[in-house]
Amino acid sequence: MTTQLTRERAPVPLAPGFLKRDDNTTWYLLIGVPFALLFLLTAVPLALSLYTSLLDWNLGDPAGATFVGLQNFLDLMVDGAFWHALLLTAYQVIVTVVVQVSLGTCIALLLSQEFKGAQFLRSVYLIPMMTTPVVVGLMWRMLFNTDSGMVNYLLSLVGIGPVNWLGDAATAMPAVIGSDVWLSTPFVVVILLAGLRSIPGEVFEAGQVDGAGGFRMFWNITLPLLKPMILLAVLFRTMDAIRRFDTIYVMTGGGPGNSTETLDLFAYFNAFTYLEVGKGAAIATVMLIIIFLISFPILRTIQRAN
Amino acid sequence: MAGHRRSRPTPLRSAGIVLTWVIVLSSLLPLLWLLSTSLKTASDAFASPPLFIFTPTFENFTAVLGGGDFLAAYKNSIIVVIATTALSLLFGITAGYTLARTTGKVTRTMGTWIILVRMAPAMGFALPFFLMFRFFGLLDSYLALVLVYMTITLPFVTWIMSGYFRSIPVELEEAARMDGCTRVQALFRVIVPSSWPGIATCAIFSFIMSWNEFFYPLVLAGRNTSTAPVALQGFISSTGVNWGQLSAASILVVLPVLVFTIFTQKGLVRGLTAGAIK
Repeated sequence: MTTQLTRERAPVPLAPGFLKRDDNTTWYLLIGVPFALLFLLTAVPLALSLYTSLLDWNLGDPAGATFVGLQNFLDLMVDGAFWHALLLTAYQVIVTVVVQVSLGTCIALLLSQEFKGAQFLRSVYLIPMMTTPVVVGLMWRMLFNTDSGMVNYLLSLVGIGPVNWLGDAATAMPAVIGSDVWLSTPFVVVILLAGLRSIPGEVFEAGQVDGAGGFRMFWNITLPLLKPMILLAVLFRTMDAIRRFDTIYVMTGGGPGNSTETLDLFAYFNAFTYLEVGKGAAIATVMLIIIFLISFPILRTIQRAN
Repeated sequence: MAGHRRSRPTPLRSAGIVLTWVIVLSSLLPLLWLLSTSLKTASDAFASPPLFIFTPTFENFTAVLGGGDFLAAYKNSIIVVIATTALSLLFGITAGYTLARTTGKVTRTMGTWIILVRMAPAMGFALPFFLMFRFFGLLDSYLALVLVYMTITLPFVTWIMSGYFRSIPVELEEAARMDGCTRVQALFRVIVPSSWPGIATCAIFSFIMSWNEFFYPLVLAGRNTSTAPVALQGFISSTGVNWGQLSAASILVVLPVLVFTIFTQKGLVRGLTAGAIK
């Protein structure tokens, strides 16, 4: 796909002729130290998290932790709030990813044209994606303000009355999704622009010779060739949307009521507000399983497409 | 893709170009509105309908910087981010170099693990980190934040640097080895100096990634180590939001990120696509 994948030359096997024997130790040190550090910082917390999910443990309770086996998970299965958070997350992820990937494909096609200023626009469009997510959340909270917000002002110009975007359970989630469309569509565009650039121009010339029109060219040639990159964008955006926290937390805090309380916020409130760390860890474990179950088939499809 | 569409200017094509300009430039409007709010007085910021023409004032910036709390958080952010970036570069370079130059099973497995970490959801780690750091008395310390931030930045730097080192000819270090350099000396005296574009990209990436981080410091930082993104919440109280000061503080938070983005966009795109396509 890109030069990053094709190795310019075969890697040198361990300890080729010009190395002294003891050089293997150097290799193990060079990668071993960072590996050990990351292993300690990930495998240990992961194991601890799994273990905590088997405990009935409230940090505010002086009695401490009791081992309850899978009780936390069984409790979640009959917890309406959990199912609400799960369905809300699914809704948020699906709408976000569908909007971002279809919008991102259109913008990538527009930006892939060569015209004066195209390079400038491609650079400028990176800015939303790099903006600090918390700032993005706060900024959109301001823009969605009922009385002085820019969104309602623009709507008032076309005669639509003031909408209480973040204070109404019906509109809070669409507003939250809108902020992420602004933030993350550029990421999809960057990935797809790289994909478009890797399609050789002759493919399109052949299409033109065959008399294919604009839309048919897109549908029959561009889209199939772009499929692995689109799937990649879907994969990355899905995983990020599942664990999306910053913007929702500062825009609505999960409210009004629990109308924007996705799984990540649900886990956060349980663990760090109600201090039910056992339950929090159980929710985190469920999220981990979901992320794995979703990303695995997408990864397989990408590998097959290659 | 470049050439094939340069052909004749049709009305449809011109419309497409105009549309591209409109979409991209309008995507900047929210940030411009944030900037304009930061330059408004409290009453102007709250005006309904919104004010487009106003007398700019720096009173929000002076209030934010004079308050002390936000400035302290800003300083915390700088300390943690620089320490994270320095350590991620050091370890990412050594690990990436090993991955680029060896095929041994052990080093491969270690490399796979380092890169897999990238996928992990923060929520699964925040809780155990909180419990561990609480146990060791490390909550509200710079060390805790740097260690946790490295789980985000180190996999990334390792991946990008191993790709970069692969594009550097092995002959370069072979020559250094002939001259009597040890392997580590060859890395730091010959390879590193000739890889500075890759290293700069990684430095900027790990700066931005750790600078933007909100969730981990929200959970793990306390009064003494609170970072700038977390401190933004200080402008929201139960009585309301101080939009002018909040916007000024937000501008100060995104400023370094935007400066880096604008000056290094080519490296950023290369890094992002390389990081995504693996």
